[in-house]
Amino acid sequence: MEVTNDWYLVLSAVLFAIGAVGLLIRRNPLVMFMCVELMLNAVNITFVALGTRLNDVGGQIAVFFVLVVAAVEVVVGLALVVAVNRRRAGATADDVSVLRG
Amino acid sequence: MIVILFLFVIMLPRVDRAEEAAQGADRRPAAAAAVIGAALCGLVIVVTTVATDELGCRAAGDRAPTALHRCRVDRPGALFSDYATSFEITAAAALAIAVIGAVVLTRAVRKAATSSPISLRPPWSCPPLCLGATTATWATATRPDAADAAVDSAADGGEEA
Repeated sequence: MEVTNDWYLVLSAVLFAIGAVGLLIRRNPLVMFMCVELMLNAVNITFVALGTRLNDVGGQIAVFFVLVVAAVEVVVGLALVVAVNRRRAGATADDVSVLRG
Repeated sequence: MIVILFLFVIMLPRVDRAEEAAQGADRRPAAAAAVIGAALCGLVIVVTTVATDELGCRAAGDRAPTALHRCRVDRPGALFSDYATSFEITAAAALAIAVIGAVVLTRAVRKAATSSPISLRPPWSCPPLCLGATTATWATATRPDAADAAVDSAADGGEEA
């Protein structure tokens, strides 16, 4: 069976949905970060697949920027998670609501 | 960075058990999230596969002057010419600022944790009873036949404390 361009788009849609569901139902900040990464990389697959289909390098350039922004997000996010976990161990995303003013 | 994130998740002890304890037996949020996820999956598939067909750019070699083709980028070196400013802003500036911010954040928290009176107990102030209990649970999880011995040793540790 030939792997067409549509398969990559379907794969990226499935990965994006898995990431979104994980982001909705999980409460651990690190697992939620992983789900965000999954969604970002699903978007990357879409960019590359559509860039190939349209014969356009712009898709791969967008992937580069998405990767950089994902790295920045992980750097800041992990620092925040470590900071929160140092104050109260085993904190979930719900516990961060104590930051409310 | 993603590898470091995976490392954090793998090193995290017993993520699921704490979550199950917090979540309880309520399965309604998970069901609602599954419905939302299925709808999202279908929507994204429709948008990416069908909508691009509607724009008339099905074939890769299609040279029809559609709206998408008018702003095409077909030079591989465009990242370093057309997008040079964006490239510098994201890759150099944002990443450097983020790393500096992360370092400042962790250092500031460490300073606050040593001086603040409401800082929660650090791991080294764990009493021997607590230490024995964690060892007992670990031994129970790994070797079921050694559970009794571990519980006994934990009880001994508690009495000594």
